[in-house]
Amino acid sequence: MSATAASRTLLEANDVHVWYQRGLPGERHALRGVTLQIGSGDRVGLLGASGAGKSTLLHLFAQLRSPNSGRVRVSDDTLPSLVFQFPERQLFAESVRDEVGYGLRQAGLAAAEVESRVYAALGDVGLPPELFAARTPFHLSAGERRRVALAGALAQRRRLVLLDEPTLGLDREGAARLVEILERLHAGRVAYWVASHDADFVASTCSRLVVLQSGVVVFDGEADDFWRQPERAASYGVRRPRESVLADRLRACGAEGLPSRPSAEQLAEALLVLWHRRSTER
Amino acid sequence: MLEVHDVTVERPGREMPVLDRVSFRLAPGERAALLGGNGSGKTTLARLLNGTQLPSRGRVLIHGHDTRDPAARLEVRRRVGLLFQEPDNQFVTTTVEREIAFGLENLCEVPERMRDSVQDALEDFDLLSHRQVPPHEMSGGEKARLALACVWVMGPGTVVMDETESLLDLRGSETLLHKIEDLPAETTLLRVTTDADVAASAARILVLDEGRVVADGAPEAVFAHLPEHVVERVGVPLVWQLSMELVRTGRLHRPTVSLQNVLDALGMPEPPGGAA
Repeated sequence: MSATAASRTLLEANDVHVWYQRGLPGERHALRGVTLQIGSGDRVGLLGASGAGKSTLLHLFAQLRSPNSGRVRVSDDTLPSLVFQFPERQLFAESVRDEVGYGLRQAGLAAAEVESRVYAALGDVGLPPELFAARTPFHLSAGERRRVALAGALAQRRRLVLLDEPTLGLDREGAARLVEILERLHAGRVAYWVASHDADFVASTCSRLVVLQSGVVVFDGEADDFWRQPERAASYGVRRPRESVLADRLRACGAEGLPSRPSAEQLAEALLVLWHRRSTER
Repeated sequence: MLEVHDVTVERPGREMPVLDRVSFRLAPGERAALLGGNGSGKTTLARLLNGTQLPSRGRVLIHGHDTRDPAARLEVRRRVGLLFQEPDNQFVTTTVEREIAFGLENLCEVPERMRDSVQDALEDFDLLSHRQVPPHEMSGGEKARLALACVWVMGPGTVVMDETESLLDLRGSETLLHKIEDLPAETTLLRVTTDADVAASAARILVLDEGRVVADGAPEAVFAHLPEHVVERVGVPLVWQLSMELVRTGRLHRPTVSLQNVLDALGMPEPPGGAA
């Protein structure tokens, strides 16, 4: 999984526990002994039912909170950047340029370097800098604001990017654009983790899946291995890609030889083969 | 009856209106989907229906009440329950239990009845163990369930859901489907979505593009004539794609959004339980 020959460990979590409201009414034990490694270039989908601990885990990785017990160790040069759920809410600067460059200026980068990174990041998320750099983020559409927030994370050029429900509220065009952005990150050996209920998006961007159930890691392995197991996904409260779900229904009718995520053509083909078999049997 | 008459919504500083001369009606008991990409005007349209957004021109009538009439505002809000895209925007109290009770308190419900209603809503939406939890400490999906419970407990005649399903996990969306099936027959439902597969489950689909209704009808009629640039934004249902393949090979006369129809046309009944 994470440990291919060229991969190195960016981040490790060892027996991590987190409680909310500890000792108060409504106490919740959100993470219960999580042990995980993140390697360079990993493309990980973080799945699990609501309240399983996905966002909490990302916040731990990003050093936004400390575990109540256990350890999160980050390699020296790997502070991850985190894109929150509804990242468009975290914008505050008066121009897109200032917003995207905020973290870089705080880190003390030279003005010219900030500018070049900001322009590159805006281009990467599909907001041409000549049109958007000077505008105020608050007059942009929700989808555009989302991309401004993402550009802010990309401009940091970290080795690990964490995204919490990144396709929420995006249409398919927006989601497809995000797939392209993640493909570019991967080509640049940047690792990413995506926490999401959007199985279609996770299936098209992630090769490894980590599944949480009530704060416990119940699966950590190849994505295709997981998508093949409908009962297991259902028992963890995890949605599967729409192609996989439709394939199950055709298998229930007797269709054979379908991959874990077939295309519409493959589904139609399997259905025709089945139809021919039935007609010759008759 | 919900009536939207020739409604335009202007946005200050923008040349193009958010909604441009939109007209449609939703009859009691109708279950429709509003499909459109980002920036098409869906959320503005959803908010028009309970008066949180008012038209610049044209009229919105909810059971005959004009949403611009201040005297009718409470009546309009009582009849139309709106679920926001971001549930955080609708929470005002400090515990799940109080949050569910909040709307009922405003309607001066008697305490005993209120206690029963809140208890039922906690059970129905799987929130019993969260009774004392502050809403802001819950996960995204739990907040979505709470938002649903808050709207359902009011028993509105019309439910408008603005992409509510995207925050829900598998169990949450199954709960939602059951709750929709259990709605009284006369309850009107409008599901706002960017996803053609979600829209395909409705009997009627309204498609919004750049502030205009560009299609309105049964799913098959809508997907057969959807403009290419709209397809790029919202996609087409997977079963529609599958059935188009079968039409191409001559095995099917016309494409459909229902796998059952495909199987029937091929003379292959789906085995019981296969629809899960």
